Amino acid sequence: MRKLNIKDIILDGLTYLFSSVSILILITIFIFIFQRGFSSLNLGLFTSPYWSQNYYGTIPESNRIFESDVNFDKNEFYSEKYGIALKDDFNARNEVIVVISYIHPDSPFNQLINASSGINEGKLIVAEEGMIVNKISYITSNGITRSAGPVLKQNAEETIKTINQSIQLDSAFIQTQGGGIMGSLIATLMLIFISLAISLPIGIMTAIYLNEYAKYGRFTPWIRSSIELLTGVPSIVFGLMGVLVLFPITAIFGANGTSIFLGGLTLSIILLPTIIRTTEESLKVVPDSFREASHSLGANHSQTIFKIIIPAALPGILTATILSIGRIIGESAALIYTMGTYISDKPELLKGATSLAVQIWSIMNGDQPNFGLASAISIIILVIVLGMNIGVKVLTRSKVKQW
Amino acid sequence: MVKINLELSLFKENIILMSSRVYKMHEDALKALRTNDRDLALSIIESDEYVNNDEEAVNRRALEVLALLAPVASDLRIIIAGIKIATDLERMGDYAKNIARFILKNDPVLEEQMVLIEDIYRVYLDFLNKTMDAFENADLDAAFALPKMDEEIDLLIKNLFFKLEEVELNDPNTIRLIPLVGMARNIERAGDHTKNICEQIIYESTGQYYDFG
Amino acid sequence: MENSFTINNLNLFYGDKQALKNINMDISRYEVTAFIGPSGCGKSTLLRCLNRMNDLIPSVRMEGDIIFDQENINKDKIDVVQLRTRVGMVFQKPNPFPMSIYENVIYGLRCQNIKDKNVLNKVCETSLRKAALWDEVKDRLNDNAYGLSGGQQQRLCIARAIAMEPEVILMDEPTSALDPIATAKIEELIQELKKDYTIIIVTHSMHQAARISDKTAFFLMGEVIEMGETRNLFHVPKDKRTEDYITGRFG
Repeated sequence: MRKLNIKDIILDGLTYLFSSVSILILITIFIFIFQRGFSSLNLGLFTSPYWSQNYYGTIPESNRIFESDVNFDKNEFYSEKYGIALKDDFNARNEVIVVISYIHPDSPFNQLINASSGINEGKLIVAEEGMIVNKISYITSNGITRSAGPVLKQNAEETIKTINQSIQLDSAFIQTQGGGIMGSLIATLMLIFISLAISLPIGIMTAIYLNEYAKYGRFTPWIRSSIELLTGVPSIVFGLMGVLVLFPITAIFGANGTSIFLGGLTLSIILLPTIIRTTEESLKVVPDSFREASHSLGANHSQTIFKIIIPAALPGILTATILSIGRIIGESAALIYTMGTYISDKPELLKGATSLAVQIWSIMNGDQPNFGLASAISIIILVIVLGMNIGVKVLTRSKVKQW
Repeated sequence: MVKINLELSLFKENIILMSSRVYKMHEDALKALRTNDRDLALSIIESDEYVNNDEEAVNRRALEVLALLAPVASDLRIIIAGIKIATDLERMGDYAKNIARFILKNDPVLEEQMVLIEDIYRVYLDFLNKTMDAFENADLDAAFALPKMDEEIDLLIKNLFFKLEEVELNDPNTIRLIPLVGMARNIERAGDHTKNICEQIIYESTGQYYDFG
Repeated sequence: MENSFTINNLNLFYGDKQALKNINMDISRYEVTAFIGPSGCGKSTLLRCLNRMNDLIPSVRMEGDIIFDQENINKDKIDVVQLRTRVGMVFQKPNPFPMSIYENVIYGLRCQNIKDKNVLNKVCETSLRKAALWDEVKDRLNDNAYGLSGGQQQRLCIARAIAMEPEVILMDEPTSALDPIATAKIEELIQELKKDYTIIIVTHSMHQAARISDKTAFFLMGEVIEMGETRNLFHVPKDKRTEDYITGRFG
């Protein structure tokens, strides 16, 4: 009796130990990501491009004082002469920068004219709060042109002081902060749209064929097994296949290398087995009594399927869709090969871009891995994917089957 | 379906018990006629009460079976036939009672007539006995054959009436014979009811009604 | 009165197993014909032959003729879909679609591409009236059918079948899932319906058959043992097996 007791205690103890270790590791990962990324999270991430935009513009003359009744923080420094406030900040790499914190509506900084040669020369630059100030050239009382700003290692306070002593301003180098995910967001949305547009109809139709038309066919079990097998194929293999097999298709449409289109095509093949399987499951659950009733009323096969069975199976199909979206957002290996790794701020269908997950890879793969930004994006992805999974659970529970 | 089997056999039992009682009444009536036993006649009249109760019991049981067990086909026919047989038996009890009353109201029957009566009554008793056997055994062939005995009874009674007519013409004591006619009629009617029972036995087996005239 | 169906030498096989043996019967119009017999003896199978619903089951093979309206519907060339608009069916467990009451009733019409709202509304009302359901649902035609009680759902299924204006209504144990009051309502309904439709009903309850049918056929192990006027079959059945079944001595 005693011996058994000790054995049980040891076994129990080991079980608890190992499960605690696994849970602890998971929690640690979560905490790590959150810690690194939380500070980088801000709404600007969603709307700003990744790459910084540089602007060089001339500042028009101004002859008035720009009074402002805005309450500035003690770390914001406002120049009444030129209607601009600057403050110190840190960029994504934790380097010190000076950013614009406020521009008076009439300030000459709202009327910067682009002075770099090229198509934008002469056009208005839209200076906004949050933009980084690299250098402001000013003209001294002696008529000499000098520079102020971080380029001369000045902070915000010093820069404002300096330009306040000038007679007029000449030009400014400003840039957007970048580090945003807008491009990848748009690319991901395009990806979702293309892959679902291809795989949903094909997958649903296949499931309908397998479950409604060929239910007792000789080859049906074989087809089903093959589809089951496909779910086990690693996605990187699909990626290679995409590059080799599907690329010529995209070439017909004019793509020259990796493209969102190619990524979408590859992804749609990855998604097919899941969609087929989930849809088939939801078709199976529709009771046969519906089919019988429909047939007995003189409906033919396709009327039964499209009027009764598919509407009844919609929750299941919706689940398949949501699961697929979650998969798309999380996919990386296949997309690296087919969609490329260059982070594009203006994604185009036939050009390469990055999805959110691939952007993380890109950020970490560069010469200056940006843990903060990568973690921030990870948090975003986690939230979306977890949200979708919870949504699926809620959906399948709330649409309590009436039959 | 044990329950309906049990109910039906109990039902038939009741009818057979009732018929035994009626048979005994008639048996006793014959005896009382022969020995002019007035006490026996009284007990026959008492028995009729029991027979009436028996009929009520049969009806009640039939209603129960119908309401609760919803019998169909042969089961139903057993019930229907049984109810009618009980009615016939009850009438036959009444006729025995009438004969008993005759004994109480009149002087003893003369030997010459008694012989004739006895012949008739014996045939009748045999008829009743065999009919109830046929009922108990659901003997269809017997049910078809037995009504002939009623014909026999009717013939014997006709005979008796002829003889009585003869005597009436030749004997000043004829006044005493008139009640005999009435009494004989009772036996005749009892025989008719026994014939009805045969018809019910045939109905129970075949679902057809035969009329033996 | 001419026959609704005439069945000649019908045999049906599920693979190697024979489910119907040499069925010969006539079914009269505007009457209620009941199929009775123990479970698994072929009554539902035969019923489903009459609207070719057995086609939906694989490995079913049939021989013999089923004459409906002077045509043998047991041949392959028959338009089965058309047949089913003339021979409707009501099932054991009420099976309304997950739609509104209105959509349920007119489903069959929509499948026939009838789009005229006036026609659809009229047919819906007529069918629901005939199924003795109109008064109970006329104010909530757009409510989901599952809000109805079991008995109401079954009457809805009957209305749905009637909406196709069939000549025959097949009923496969229509009241076995219902309580006695709902059952009584539907039995009453059947008595009304037989004025306009031929009704063939499979029932597990011989008493139901006795109550509502004009003719009854007794099935045993895939054969029709006896068929005749109900009042005779329950009074003096010709075959001992019939007698044993209806008196409850077996089965």
